[in-house]
Amino acid sequence: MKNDSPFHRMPERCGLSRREFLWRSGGGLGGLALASLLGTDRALATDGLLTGKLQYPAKAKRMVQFFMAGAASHIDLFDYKPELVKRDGQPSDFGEHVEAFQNGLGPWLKPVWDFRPYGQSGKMLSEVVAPLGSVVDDMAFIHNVVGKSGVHSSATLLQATGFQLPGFPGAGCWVSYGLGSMNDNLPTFVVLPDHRGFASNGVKNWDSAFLPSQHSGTIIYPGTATPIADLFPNKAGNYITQEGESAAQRLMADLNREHAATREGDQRLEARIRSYELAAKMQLAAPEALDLKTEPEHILKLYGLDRGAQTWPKEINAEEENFYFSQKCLAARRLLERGVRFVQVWSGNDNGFPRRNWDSHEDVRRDHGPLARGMARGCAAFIQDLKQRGMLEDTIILWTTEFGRMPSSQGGKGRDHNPYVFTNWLCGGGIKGGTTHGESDQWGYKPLDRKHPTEVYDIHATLLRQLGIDHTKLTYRHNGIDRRLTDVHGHVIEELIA
Amino acid sequence: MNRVWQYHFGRGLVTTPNDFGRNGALPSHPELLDWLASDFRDSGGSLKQLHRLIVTSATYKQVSTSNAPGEKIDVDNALLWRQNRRKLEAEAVRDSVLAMSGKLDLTMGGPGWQDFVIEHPEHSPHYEYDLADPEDRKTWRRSIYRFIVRSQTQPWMTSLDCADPSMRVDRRNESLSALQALALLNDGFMVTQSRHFAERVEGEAPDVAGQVERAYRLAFGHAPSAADHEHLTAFAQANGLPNLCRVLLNLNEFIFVD
Repeated sequence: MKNDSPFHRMPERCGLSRREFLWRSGGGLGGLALASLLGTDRALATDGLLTGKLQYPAKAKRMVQFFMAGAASHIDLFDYKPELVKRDGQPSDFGEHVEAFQNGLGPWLKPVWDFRPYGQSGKMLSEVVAPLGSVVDDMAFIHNVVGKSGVHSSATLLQATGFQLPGFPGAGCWVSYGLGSMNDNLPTFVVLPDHRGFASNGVKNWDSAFLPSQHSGTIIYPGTATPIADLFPNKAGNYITQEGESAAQRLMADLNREHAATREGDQRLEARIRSYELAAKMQLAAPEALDLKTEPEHILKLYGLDRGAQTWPKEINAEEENFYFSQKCLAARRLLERGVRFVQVWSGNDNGFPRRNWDSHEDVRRDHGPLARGMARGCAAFIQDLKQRGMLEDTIILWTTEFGRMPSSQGGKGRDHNPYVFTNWLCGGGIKGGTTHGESDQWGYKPLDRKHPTEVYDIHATLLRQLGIDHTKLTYRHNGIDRRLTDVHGHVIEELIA
Repeated sequence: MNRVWQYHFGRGLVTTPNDFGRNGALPSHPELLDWLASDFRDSGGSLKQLHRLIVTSATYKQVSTSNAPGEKIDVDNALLWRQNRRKLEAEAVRDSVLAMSGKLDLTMGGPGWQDFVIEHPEHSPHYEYDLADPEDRKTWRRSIYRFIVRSQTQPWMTSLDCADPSMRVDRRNESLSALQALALLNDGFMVTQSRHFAERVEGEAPDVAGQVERAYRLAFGHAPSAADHEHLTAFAQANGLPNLCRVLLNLNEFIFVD
């Protein structure tokens, strides 16, 4: 009986790339034979849905996302509010009822650090992020981003996946799905979490959800013995030796090929053989990529990594934050150089004590200080590093957080959640530098023009545009809906495009 | 009916199990689906009986070997002219490995087992899977008794496409990736059970050649060819039986059921 439902979808056929098609009709060719058919450099990459079919000329080939977990205060970092300086200490009055998250409606609290102008654009930056002053003319700030919730878990998911509920793919997953990978020795989408723990909802922020699972973010911990989980045998496997491994690989390949020879037409068998070959490649490629010690001295100095790991005090401090954040930034640059498509760097973990995230309810100076100094040093070095290598023009960088913080104080020295407005910045990948798009009101409480805020959908639409993709055309049918990163929203912010 | 059919054959009679009707696919065998449903209703609604009915059927007992004429007519096997070769799901891989090593504890019922250590239980607990002990016998029971942490999925199970329980998943992904290969090669559970597998067969055959044959038979249900047996025995002699067992557990023949 013919199945002629227009909605019918054969799972085995959806998204069949040219490479997959060749696997099938090749009747079970070994990986090497196929590689020579496709030509060596093509054989190393996996096509995405839109490879060779981009809607726009791509300005960027790769992306980095810096995510400040806990809600970084736009007021104390990037969004200068002279009105708050003037009215510091006075009882706050927003002129309307405020839906506060907790009780952060104390007196106005001026930015904890002073702001000064930087660069040719004269952008006002807090001195706690002074290192970014050296690259501010390459940065584009958006001060009128709004969220939907002041709750960390849903707000983090919204910025990471475009949806507030779990079950939707991370932005990096969509990019991997759309563009494919640039090599197979390393994962396409890499996640560098805060070494102290995950942000709210952890892996769900970069999970592939309903997209094919190879698009999930792969966690990497630079500077550790096993940077990727199971990259090397667990210590319980002390009977495993390097020679034995090579012999095992050869033996498995032979037996698997013999097995596949009498089971023609099942492409999975060949694909699995290949996956073991790639695993062996990854065992070499990943440690090489993460070997920061091979970097020249001036690069290590740029990132503040020249002194290496130290013993640091127990209290949160700028040197330690700089070390760990910069380590991730330098690792990110090396991974991008080696063909990783999307790297997501997290700063700050969930709510443990002592506080190690941006959720400064109690004391902005105490937590934001070290985190911001570390972040600014790392990001500035990263941007300069990319620029020197000619990689900034085709690498798009997004800095984001789940929401902002209130201009009124909480408990004297802290700030409560502010989902009503916060700041993102973009850099590279054809984004216009030295600009500010969208302002917040005089307090940094809500957008200045409340009818025209910027939403995460607009940011994502713009990022995809720079990658050559029309955000409405990168879709995946799931449960009867053509899903996309931007849901049914989003417009490209043309003013940000150079 | 459709879901049970999907679990046994790898695809449902309706390939969109969450969408029947106009938004979904049409059934490949509508009369069969109707008959299964009414028979289920009329015979008292026993799933066990349904499972027995399906797995003792001639359709289920077919081999999965393909052929050119069949592929010409129905390459996706919608009409089930042969069986579908199944990739074992995460739970089945885990249980099968334990069955090989002889460590599978079939005790039924009771509290689930946990393969993690909880840190910071007072607020935002961390579920540290890396700190779990692969030699913890409580974790050698069937996967159905695994304590599932919805907020932080178990990485090894996830690498084998175990679905995230905080999502509605009508049909699991079936992935093949370098990360999955690494998980099966190097994870603490796998390397530990490979050693136990070796210890088991050492007690069941007098010499290496015999132990290799025994391990192979346990894993695949048939004797190895003479050539394969020779190569595997040579490997075992050079690298030890645990390594040999680890190889067997990583082969396609272990993961794909014909």
